[in-house]
Amino acid sequence: MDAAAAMIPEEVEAELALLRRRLARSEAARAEAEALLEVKSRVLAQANEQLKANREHLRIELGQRTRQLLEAQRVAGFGTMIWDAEAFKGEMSPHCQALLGLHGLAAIDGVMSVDGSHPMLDRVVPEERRKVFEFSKRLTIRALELKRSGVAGHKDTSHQVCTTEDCQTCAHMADCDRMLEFRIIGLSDGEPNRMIRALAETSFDEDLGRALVFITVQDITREIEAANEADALRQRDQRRMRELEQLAVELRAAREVAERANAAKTRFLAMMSHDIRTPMNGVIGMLELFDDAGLSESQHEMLQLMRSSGDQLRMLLDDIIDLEQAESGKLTLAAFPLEVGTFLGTSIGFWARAARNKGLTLQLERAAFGYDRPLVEWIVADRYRLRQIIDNLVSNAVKYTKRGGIVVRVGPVAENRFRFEVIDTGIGIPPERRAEIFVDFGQLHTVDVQAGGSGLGLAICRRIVDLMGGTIGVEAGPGGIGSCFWVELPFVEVDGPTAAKQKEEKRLRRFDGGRLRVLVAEDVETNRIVARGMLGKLGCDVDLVTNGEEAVEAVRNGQFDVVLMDMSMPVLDGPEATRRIKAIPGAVSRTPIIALTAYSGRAELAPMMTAGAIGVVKKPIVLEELYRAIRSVCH
Amino acid sequence: MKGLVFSEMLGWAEHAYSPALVDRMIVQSGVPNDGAYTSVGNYPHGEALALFGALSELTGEPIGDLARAYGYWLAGRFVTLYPELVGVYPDAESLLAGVGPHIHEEVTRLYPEAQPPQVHSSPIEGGMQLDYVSHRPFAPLAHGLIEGFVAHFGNHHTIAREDLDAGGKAARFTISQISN
Repeated sequence: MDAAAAMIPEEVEAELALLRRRLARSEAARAEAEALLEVKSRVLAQANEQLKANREHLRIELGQRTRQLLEAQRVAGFGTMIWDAEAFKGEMSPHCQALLGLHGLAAIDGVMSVDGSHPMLDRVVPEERRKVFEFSKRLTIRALELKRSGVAGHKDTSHQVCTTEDCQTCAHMADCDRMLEFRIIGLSDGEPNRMIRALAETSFDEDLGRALVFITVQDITREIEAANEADALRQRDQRRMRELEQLAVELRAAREVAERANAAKTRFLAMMSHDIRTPMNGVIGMLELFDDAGLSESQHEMLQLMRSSGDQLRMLLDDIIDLEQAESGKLTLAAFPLEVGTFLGTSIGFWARAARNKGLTLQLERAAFGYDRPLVEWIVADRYRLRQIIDNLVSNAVKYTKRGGIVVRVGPVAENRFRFEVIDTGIGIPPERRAEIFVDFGQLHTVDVQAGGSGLGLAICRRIVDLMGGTIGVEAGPGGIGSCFWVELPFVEVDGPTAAKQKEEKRLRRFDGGRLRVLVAEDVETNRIVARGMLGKLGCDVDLVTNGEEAVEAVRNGQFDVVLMDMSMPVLDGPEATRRIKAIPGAVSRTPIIALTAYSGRAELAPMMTAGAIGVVKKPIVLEELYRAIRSVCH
Repeated sequence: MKGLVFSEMLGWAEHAYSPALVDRMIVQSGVPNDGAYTSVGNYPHGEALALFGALSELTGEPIGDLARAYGYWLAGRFVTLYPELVGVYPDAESLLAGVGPHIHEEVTRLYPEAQPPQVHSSPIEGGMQLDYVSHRPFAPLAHGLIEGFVAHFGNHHTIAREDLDAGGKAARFTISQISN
């Protein structure tokens, strides 16, 4: 080796050393490169694993999103289709396939021809296939135009989704161009056709280089049906509205006829009332004045029968007028202080004789009705109407009771409400017919007809009680015998007048303390005679005139305490005469004037009251009423 | 700095001078790995400067001239080694315009740790401008590369360099078409 080395020249030795160093550098670089490669391989392997994991994650994520999207389509009730305008191939979502009845046809291809067979067009009803074909053609052309112009998507210059209809830049279509509604054949045999709405959007996908048509498909059969139903309902409502309007017109006409008829009836009743009252005044008045002394028993009975018949006739007339007033809403209430005990005693006592004549007992009792306080003494009430109720109930009890008796119980049921009951031992009322008897002309008993009742009494009572804010009813009497009519009424308590005034009232049954001078202006002779007779009974001096003009002159020249002025008189009627009297200078103008009238309505009385009359006496004149009217105006 | 620059530099120096001079250059530069560079590795750019410094001392040539000559040679090597990158460009201007957005982008994608210089091109009347900015002082090397690519496409351009930084870290190159 040493010998060989000694043989190598120095230059060669240097060259060898250089080559060895280069080799060493190359080997070192190779080792480093291999080490780097190893590191890079590991990094690459890890990256590959990560890539696989990411891909799997993306696959799962994509699957979930796809399922969610398909589920959303199913829930929302629409399907989607993407159509490649160049390749004539489309993909349909499962719900799109279901809606169109193309199950299992996820991919669809082929050029559509309106005359040839195409799975999509075959589902469309024949008469609408051309429409669908034209729609498809229009969309395809649009998409291809987009691709040709290189406009990606359908965004405007600021990269917002373009909403401009018929935009020339991005070919965004007008709604009318991108929407189509068409019918497809029913999804199963026998099923009616379905209505489909397709909404389309064309675009050019720059990444894929494809001209695409994106279509949503929706079954709007129910929507259309609902709209049709709504339309039918609307038309029906409009028809009904027209019918109702027509009915309203007819009803208005009928009401006007009824109102005219009612007004005619009212006028007729008013006239009838007046015309009947005038002769009745003569009959009843004369009967009252008739002195029955010296008559035989049979004559006396005949006179009583005539008086009783006259009273019945008067009451019947009053009932008819009351009912008419109630029906027309003219029934009104007065409000005056009333002593309950005295009032009830007098009212009930009035019927004592009738009861006694039939061998019946009639008692008035105080009752508590579960409210443990005595009934107040003075209340505000309409005496006349309250009396009307009591008279009706008690007279009925007397009328329909053959044996036993009648008990009237009265007492409070609450702090401001009292009740009275009229209990009889009569024939009673079957429970099922108790409601009827408060109806107009609701007679139950033939005996009622025989007794001359109008069947109006209880109906009028109910209306009066209603007006007073109370209630009225009937039930079986104690032990199921007879009837118990009851009335409950609200009341307002007041302080009564002084004892002195009461005493004075009681004393003035006749106007004895200085005779009153009364002027009667009345054109009917009978009425004049009745008035004179009754006023004579009351202890008055009477002057008679036959018309208003004479009345004015009499008042001007004489001194009267009160004037009874008939309303309807020849020459000068009552209202005008009253006005003239009121216009006379001096104290005579203050002479109290009482209207004397056969009219009973408030409207008919108005001219007299307006002219200055301060009281009313209705014909046929009743002595008691005449007395009260005069007493109330002569202090 | 990519190991390719180092391994190709040794190859260029052996080709331009001699293996013996390269051996001396390595020894004289004092680089830590005794010049064992692999193209797939990464090395501090200071080692390249040390090598260029040693070569300058051994040859008496300025460092800038050496780096420019190396750049010219390296452009030829790129054409040989990476035809898929260089071959897509039809002319020098389009290649130089693609250095920043395409070639360096590709390098960064393949070698995430690489830090290529920023190269920005802009067209001008009759040519283009290329701005070079780097944290390394290799504007002369870039100059040589541009010359090499221009030569590859037939030398239809002149190249003017304006140093924007005395240390060679920034420069503007004006590449003008030679009118016939």
